[in-house]
Amino acid sequence: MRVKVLSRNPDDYVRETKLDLQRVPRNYDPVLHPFEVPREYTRALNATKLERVFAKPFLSSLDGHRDGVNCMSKHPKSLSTVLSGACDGEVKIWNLTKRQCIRTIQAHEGFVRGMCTRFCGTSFFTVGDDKTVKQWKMESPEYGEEEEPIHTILGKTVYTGIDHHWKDAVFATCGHQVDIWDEQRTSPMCSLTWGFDSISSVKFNPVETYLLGSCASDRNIVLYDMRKSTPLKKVILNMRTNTICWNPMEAFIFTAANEDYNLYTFDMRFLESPVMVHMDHVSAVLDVDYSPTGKEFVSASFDKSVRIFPVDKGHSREVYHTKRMQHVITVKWTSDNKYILCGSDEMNIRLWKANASEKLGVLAPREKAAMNYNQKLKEKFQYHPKIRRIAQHRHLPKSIYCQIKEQRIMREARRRKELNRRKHSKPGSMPFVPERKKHIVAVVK
Amino acid sequence: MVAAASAGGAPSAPPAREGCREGGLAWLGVQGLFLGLQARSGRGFLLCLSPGPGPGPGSVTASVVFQGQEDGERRHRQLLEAVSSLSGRRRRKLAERTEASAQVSEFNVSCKGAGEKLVLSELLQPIRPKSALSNVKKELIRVKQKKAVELPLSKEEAKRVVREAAYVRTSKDVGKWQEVVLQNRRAEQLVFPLKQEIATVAPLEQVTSAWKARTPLEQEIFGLLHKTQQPITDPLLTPEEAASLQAMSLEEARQRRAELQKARALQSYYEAKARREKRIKSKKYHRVLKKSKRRKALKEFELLHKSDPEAALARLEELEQLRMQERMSLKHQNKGKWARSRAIMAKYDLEARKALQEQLARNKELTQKVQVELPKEELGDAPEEDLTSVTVPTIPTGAGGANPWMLGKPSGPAEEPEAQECREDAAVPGAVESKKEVEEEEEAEAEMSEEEALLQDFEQKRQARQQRAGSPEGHGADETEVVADLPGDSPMHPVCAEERASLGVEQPPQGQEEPLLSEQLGRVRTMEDVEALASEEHVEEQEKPAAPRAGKRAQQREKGRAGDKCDKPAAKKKKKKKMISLQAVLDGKPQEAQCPSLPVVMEEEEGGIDQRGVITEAFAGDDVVADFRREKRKAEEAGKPQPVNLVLPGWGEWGGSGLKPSTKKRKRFLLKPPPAPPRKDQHLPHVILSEKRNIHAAAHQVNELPFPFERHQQFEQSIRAPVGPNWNTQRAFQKLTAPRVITRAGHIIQPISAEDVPEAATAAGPGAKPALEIRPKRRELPLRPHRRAR
Repeated sequence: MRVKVLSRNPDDYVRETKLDLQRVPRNYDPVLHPFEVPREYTRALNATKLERVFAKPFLSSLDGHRDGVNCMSKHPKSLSTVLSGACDGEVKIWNLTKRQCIRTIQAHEGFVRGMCTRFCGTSFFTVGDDKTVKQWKMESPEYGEEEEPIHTILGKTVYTGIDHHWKDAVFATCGHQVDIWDEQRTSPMCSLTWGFDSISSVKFNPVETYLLGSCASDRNIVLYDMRKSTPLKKVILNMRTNTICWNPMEAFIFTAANEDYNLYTFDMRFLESPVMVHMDHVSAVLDVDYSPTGKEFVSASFDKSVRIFPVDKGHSREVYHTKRMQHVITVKWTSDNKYILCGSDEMNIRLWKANASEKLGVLAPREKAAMNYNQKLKEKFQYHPKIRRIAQHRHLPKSIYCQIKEQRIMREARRRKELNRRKHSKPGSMPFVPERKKHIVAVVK
Repeated sequence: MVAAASAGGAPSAPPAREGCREGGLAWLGVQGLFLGLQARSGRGFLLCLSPGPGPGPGSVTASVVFQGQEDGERRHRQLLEAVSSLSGRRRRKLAERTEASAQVSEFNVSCKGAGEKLVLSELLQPIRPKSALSNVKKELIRVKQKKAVELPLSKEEAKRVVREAAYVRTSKDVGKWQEVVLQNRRAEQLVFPLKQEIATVAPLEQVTSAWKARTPLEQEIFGLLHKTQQPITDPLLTPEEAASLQAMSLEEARQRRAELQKARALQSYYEAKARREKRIKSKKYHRVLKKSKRRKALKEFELLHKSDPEAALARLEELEQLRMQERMSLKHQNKGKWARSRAIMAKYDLEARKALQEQLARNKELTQKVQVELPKEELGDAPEEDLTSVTVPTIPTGAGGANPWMLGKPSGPAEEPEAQECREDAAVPGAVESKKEVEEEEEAEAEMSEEEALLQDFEQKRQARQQRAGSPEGHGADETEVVADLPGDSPMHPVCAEERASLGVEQPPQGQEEPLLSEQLGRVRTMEDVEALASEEHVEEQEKPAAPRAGKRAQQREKGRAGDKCDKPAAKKKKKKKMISLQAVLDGKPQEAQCPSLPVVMEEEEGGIDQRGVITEAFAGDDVVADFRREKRKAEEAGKPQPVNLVLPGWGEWGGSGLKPSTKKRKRFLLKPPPAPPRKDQHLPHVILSEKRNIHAAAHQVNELPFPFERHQQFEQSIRAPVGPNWNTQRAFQKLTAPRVITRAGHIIQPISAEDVPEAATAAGPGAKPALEIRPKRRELPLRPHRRAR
């Protein structure tokens, strides 16, 4: 007679060391694991709640400026370095890991209007209200050396913005016109004009580096080609565009921060209508910066808040604000896609997490797996009303909250009025204008 | 810089060109034109253009010295004509007589050279109108034809044109990113930074060679090292080693390792075998072994003798040689240590004496010069070894299989007697069962080779067939078991079943009856319910004449269903049946008479055919109102909470076929739920309000289809498929939960550049899509505004 006994290979259940995880044999028979959808729903709900619980985006504030922060610049080679220029002409270089100012320069008289770093990270440029362009060394001067710029270019008019080419020793300034400079010369290589108005910002395309975009106070956005030294096209919007930013991963996409509380993402090949209108701010949008992955961008607004928009969504996924933060003038997304910096009127630079509930530091593999799973669950059940309610809930300062309500009422009234007008006019005489076309006045060739 | 270059360019050319034209005219006017062409070897000619006396540009007198060939001269003349025609005025050439000629024409035509031929094409040359004013005329015509020069474009317009051209070009340039962008948008996963720097391990010697000692401490250490001749930059691998490492690929190494392993296994096997054999103490075994070896050797030699006599002869010689060597040696004489000790022992020990005698006999044998045949029978020790080494591998080949010595046990011969047994057993059908079990155990124990399995299979089939033939009706039940016992892969199985069916051994299996019975129990209840309903209908009948018909129909249905049931007590069933039929009959007759549609039709027929009549006639058959009532009743029924039947037959009392649980028990375990709240359509006879929708659940449900999905099935499917580790394997779980974007902490993500783009993406046409695209539709940029974070 044979007696059958269970015999297992010890390799299947004995750990090699004490530090190993216990191996758990799994049976995937679906009968043994019922209610998969309700269970996952519950998990998704918990994940969403936890995300909200852990959403603490504010990391620190860098204080030291004696006037409002007017412009910022990232270091192209160092993640921990950031530069900022204030309204009193002071430029500070910060170390983000120490959260300290490592260098202060009195660069200009009056505002520092714009600043940019050279692509190699060895020097940076500033423009100010004193009609000068100055090039500075990134390293602080040796002991006993004077803090002096490498070059100073004295212009005829005030420069309002500056940007450096991504690969060559060329930079562009804007003011009355867009000037393109060789670093070695004291006069611009060429000046690009189209119309007469002050240009507030100029930006080089990071991918197709010969392309430039600028926005002027006569409500237009102009694109230039550096190779031909000619403007390409001009699009006129309803209101003034404050600044633009090119998508670093998609060469033909750029986003414009507009006075009419909206941001417009354009495809430069089809300027007739923006690809997407991003609306959520309740005051003029002052600055915009793309995340280095090109999937999202951050915008700073006069309404004392910073918002993060996905490129392909019309509304923001996140809003950051603190009690003390005033009008946010400038914003940057760090090059490792992890943090956001914003400089505001009340002389502070604030450091935020780009992903509000993200855990900083090294994650254990199991932690990482759990995080991925939770993320996936949130994504899967995002349309369920209860989950959506929790995921989208944000606390806002009263001013913004009321403004939003007010604007909703205004929008509703406008819509109703249009509806009524349409109802009482000849059919076809009141065409439906899509939201994307509403804000474009004209495209000038 | 670029701008400067383009701005500084564009030199003006037109004036230079005008100057050129003037110069061309002036060129003909040159007075002192001298053209000399040297005659060469009879082919060429000499042409002298001497400056003429006249001041005009056309005053060129040519003196031609004709030397030879006419066509050359003709060409020359043409050239001259062409030259003179350029001047505008044409002058008749006066033929100049350079030599005496017989033919002098009066028309001032000289026939230069009597033999010269006139070519037709020369005659056909157009006669040109000559006029001194032709130049002026031409000018006039030109002036008349030419329109006024267009004004240059205004500065603005010119700029616009430039801009447009530049824009078209630039957007085309930028457009080449389209594919890449789309691919990145659709990608399941993106890892940033795009340009993954591959960590290369620099060899130590490179690192050390680049490194220089700077600080005094380092220099000191280096000095010490150099003093002791310590190799610093020595390569870690010798060149040979490096070469061999490069030469041997992984595949080769693996192959070689496998070979080595095999060889080692073989070797160890033989060693083990030899040791085993050596350890066998049985003399009989050794005797038999020796004998068999001898026999084998003999046989081999005979074979060799037949096939290759010369080789056989050589072999013989060899053997002879061996024998001679043996004779020369002192091996089997009584001189050895062993022999001497034996000799001492021989006095007392019989065994020893015998051994010694044997040795002596052997010696004698060996030293004797014998016939050819004899040495074949008894071979020396040395050839014996040879033979074993040859013969051993032949043994396992008998076992069959690709790698015979790796098999656990040669089961071929062991199986055969069993098969025979099976065959024997087949005659006795009763014993098959036990035999089968034994077989199965065997199967479980030892892995059988395929052939064996096949053989066994056939055997089993044969047995089954025999058994069937032997006892077709008696062993019906057993047979099914036998068939069931057969391995699943045997093709005989279904056939057997079919045959069984055809044989007519039709017995409704016992197992199937049980559930049927329980179902009946359930239906008894429903029947009662229906009866109760029927009684209700009686009440309603007065209001609605159509209702009873429905009741009748239902009853009839019930009747039909009741007819199916066979196990019910017959008397009771009959009784019930009777009742039902009576009712049906009673109900049926008045209904026919009361049918409201009939008289209407009659009236219409009388009055004439009109629309309403046609419709009523067309729908005369169906009773919509009754249908609706029935539907509503059904909905009500469905909405009622169902009683839960927890009766377990046979629990706490006798159970079995034909027995049913006691009424007491049924009463106890038939749980009646509390009555449902009153329906909302209770007082609305013409309305059915569905109460299926659960308001409490609705708050948690998605009430509109989310954007990327096109059909609600798609969405439901996406929700239904679980992603968690409880429902998926580890690998699948990882794949399902892989994040969309991966970034590394502390890595700077540079903007995309042409080097980052994989070749496939740029080479792919507009229709190309990434390999990974699972989602129904990825969200792309042109999207409607969506949700907000307040």
